[in-house]
Amino acid sequence: MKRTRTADEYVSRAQWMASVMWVLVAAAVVGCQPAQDEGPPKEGVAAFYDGRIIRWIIPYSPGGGYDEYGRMIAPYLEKYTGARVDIFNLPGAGGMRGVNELFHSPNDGLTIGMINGSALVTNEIAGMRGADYKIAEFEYLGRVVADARVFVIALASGYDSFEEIWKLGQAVKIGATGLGGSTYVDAVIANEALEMDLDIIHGFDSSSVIRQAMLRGNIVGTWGSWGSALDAVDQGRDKIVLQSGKLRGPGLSDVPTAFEMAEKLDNPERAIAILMAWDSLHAVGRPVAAPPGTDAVKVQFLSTALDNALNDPELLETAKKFGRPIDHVSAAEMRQIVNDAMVLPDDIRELFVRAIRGEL
Amino acid sequence: MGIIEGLISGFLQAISLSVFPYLLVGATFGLIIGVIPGLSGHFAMAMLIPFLYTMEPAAGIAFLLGAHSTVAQGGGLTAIFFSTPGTGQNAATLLDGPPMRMKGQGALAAGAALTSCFLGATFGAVALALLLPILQKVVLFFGPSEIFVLAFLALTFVAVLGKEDITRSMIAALLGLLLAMVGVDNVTNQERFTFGLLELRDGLGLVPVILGLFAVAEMFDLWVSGRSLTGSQSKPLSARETQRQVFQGVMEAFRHWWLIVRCSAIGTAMGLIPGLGSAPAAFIAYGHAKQSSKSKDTFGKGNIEGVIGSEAANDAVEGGALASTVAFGVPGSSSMAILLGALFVLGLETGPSLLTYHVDVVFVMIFTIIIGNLIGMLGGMFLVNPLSRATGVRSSVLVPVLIVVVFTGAFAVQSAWFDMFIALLFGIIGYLMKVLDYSRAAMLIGFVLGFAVEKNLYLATQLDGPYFIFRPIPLTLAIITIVFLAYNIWGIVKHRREADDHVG
Amino acid sequence: MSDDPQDSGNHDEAAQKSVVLELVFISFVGLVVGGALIAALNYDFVSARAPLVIIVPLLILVAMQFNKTRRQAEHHDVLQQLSHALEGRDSKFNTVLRFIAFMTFLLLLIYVAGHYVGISVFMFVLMHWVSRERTRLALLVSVGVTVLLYFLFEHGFNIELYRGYIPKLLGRYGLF
Repeated sequence: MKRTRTADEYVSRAQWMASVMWVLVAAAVVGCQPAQDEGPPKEGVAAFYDGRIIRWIIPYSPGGGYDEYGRMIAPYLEKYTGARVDIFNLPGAGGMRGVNELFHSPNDGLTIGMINGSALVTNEIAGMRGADYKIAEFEYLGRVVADARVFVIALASGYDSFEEIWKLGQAVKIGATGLGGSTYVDAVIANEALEMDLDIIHGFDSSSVIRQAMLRGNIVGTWGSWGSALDAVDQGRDKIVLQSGKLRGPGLSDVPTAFEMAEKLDNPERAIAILMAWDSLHAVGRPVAAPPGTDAVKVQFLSTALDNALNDPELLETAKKFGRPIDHVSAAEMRQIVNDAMVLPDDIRELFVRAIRGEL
Repeated sequence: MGIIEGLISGFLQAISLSVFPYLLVGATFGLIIGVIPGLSGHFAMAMLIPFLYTMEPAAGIAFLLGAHSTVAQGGGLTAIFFSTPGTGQNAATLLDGPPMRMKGQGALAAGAALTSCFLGATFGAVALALLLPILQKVVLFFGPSEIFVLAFLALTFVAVLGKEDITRSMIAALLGLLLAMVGVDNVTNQERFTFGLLELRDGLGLVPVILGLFAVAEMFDLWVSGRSLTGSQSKPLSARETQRQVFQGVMEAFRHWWLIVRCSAIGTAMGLIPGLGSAPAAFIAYGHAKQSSKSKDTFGKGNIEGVIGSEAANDAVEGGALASTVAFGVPGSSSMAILLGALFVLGLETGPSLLTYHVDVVFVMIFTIIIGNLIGMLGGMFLVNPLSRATGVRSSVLVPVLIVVVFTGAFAVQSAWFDMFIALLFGIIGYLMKVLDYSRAAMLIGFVLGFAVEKNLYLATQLDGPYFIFRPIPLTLAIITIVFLAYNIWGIVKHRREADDHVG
Repeated sequence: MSDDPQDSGNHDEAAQKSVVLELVFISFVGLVVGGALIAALNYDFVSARAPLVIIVPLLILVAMQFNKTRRQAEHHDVLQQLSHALEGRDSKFNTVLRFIAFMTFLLLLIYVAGHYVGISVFMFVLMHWVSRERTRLALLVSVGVTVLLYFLFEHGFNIELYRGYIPKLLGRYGLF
């Protein structure tokens, strides 16, 4: 027997439908993808990529530096390959998870990744557990940027230049994140090369916690990438007092380099050797790579596309606006850089291994 | 520009036609994300970043913060109706929300939760505004020594929550602490309890653990006991009754305004402390609500004060978390890190220059939080009826579906199959704990705070020396902790003595 | 407490089972924490400090709880309960085990065949086979929810759900 609907049920049905409509509209807004535009038919390898999907592995979670780079560059990569680029975030184990995945991904030319090159080289050199890849076997497509490393101090500490701190030894506390991490290795290598004995407090959770400690005066300074130091420097709270490169970089012309400081030592040869190795490590930076064994023609195509993308004036302008510098090198140069970073004189290599393992 | 000028400008910008639609869309998006288990505010913001590149600063901020603010409200609704926390912050709502639903008061809880969220967020945002002149000093207040003592104080709340059976609660809390130790210790690169697995190097993920302990365990319970989500009621409430209850819930929240103020204060204060996250704030506020209530024993069985307290706190946390982000450009949490990145993309700096020259932007943020939460509250009220009806679906259909959604959410956090396994494992553990009356809340508090306690203790000894506890501020906080602990222990002993007297 | 003797009999049984269960649980916890203790003793001193500080009180408490439970269990026949359950004659225990088995099956299926196959099969099996829902309803819900999740995650959030071993294998051969 069909009973008549009560007012209650009418009200609830209307509400139910309204809510469903609302959810569907929201889903539609969320799920809308822009349409691809057609062009003239392509030939050869370009035809292969036309309309296909390239998976770009980013080994960090959304919102971080690597992710921002990826999302900034992706549209330009799409422009120069004719394919759609899908970012795949795979965070974990300090970038190692994503790299492991990239190393074992199918080498059909449809998977690429941006990796934390410098950290991975150090992991492999030191034989860290979990490093399930061979950094030399990747097919490199080029580099997005190298990390210019700087030593930044809080002006509140009362110090103003590197010379003041240089020989103060354990009285000066500097911060670093994890053992074997980039800020730690930088601090230890700098200590070793420049014959100083600053007190390295490592174990900070992240660079933000280090920055807070600097603000509170708990520590004097830290090594880090130039980009991360900029904000506080611009606000006049911090000062960059040393940079790691051989030459003074653009925008850092007032800041002495570690090499310049090394010249002031009695026996600079050893220091210079260490610093050179250190520098070659930093040069690896953030490369983009394809899994080992990817077809050479496809690698060529992708490298060219990356090259074009990273030299595209529009992208460079956007990058500048967002404070994400681009320092592109080609695939061939990248391969050379990686080789240089892996080939170290035995005693230097030994030193680095001990530094990374925290034995120094 | 002066603060009053900034306030007016910020407000006008927030409601202007070029900004408000983004706020609306963002808030709606956030509400939906909140409802899906496992997806959090951090996730919502990360999803929206690609859209920022072409937006104006104020619109971009409204978009992001609007989404972030409503996630906890959506999560509160799923917590109440499906015993599934939408986000980590809503875990505390599970203590009294579902019991209320079982008593047929689900919509009442929902109305109260949504309103408390809104009021809590407003409190947090207003507190942030009031603190602006001294913001920098406030943020600098918290160093490792202070954070250690505060985290430890938060831990002792376990004593409050687990009063009934202190042995079991302590076991649960200590187990939670131990679980927090899983992973690589970044001080020595020592792998602790990782079984050599790469997946465990970063430790157990918070989201899979919460989903397992609370969501999967509930699904276990429903399946095994054969009950439906509506408990003793044979079918869910009618639409009219639901509406009535929702409004009643709103009224109840306002009626408990003093509780909301106190719990919001707790939330905001905990938001100021970097690195603790929002889940502990909700539990501590819950503990406080329980302790200050006249009907302590009904907590855990469906007392609306429990829902109000936790929801007020988990939204107030945001105002606090924004403080260090705005004051120094140092993010207080992972979502704030995204916000910082977004501010950069939008062309804004943080720190003193923001406070000096662009204080209207700060007020846009403040008003976005308030208005966003209001939108979330109103929008959420529309969701109550469909969600409430959905609980009437047979558990033989609902449980498989919810399990699938929960596992998908667990996977989505890091795109890791292993996280789903963790969710299952903790689902089994959580079910056992539920059956045997071990406090899962205690375990969660231990788990969340364990890391903060150890890390900050280490840093405190490195930076301030082994006697750091005798410095003025840590010492004061430590004394407060001891007093608090003593009071609670005395209460437990007295309680037990009275119980013994009764029996004898 | 009700006055019905039948009812209190049920209460008793439930209480018995609960005590036995707790005994098993707390023993298991004790073993695991004991294992953790042994592991922690081998760690670097700095890293071992916090775990040890946690484990020692924990073991003491576990021992206390074990004792308490054991005393409660004196009146019950623990071994009989255990064999009863393990032989499959305790229906509640069986249901729990079966449910665990199903969820494990879900995860394994996802690992092998991918997320979508995994969840749709899981939902269908549970609804139709185990709960005896109508085929049409079970199919509709299973497929419907799977499709919804697909659109929501893959298109909406741009999160690729787990591809599974077999699809990946096939992918390597260019079939996908």
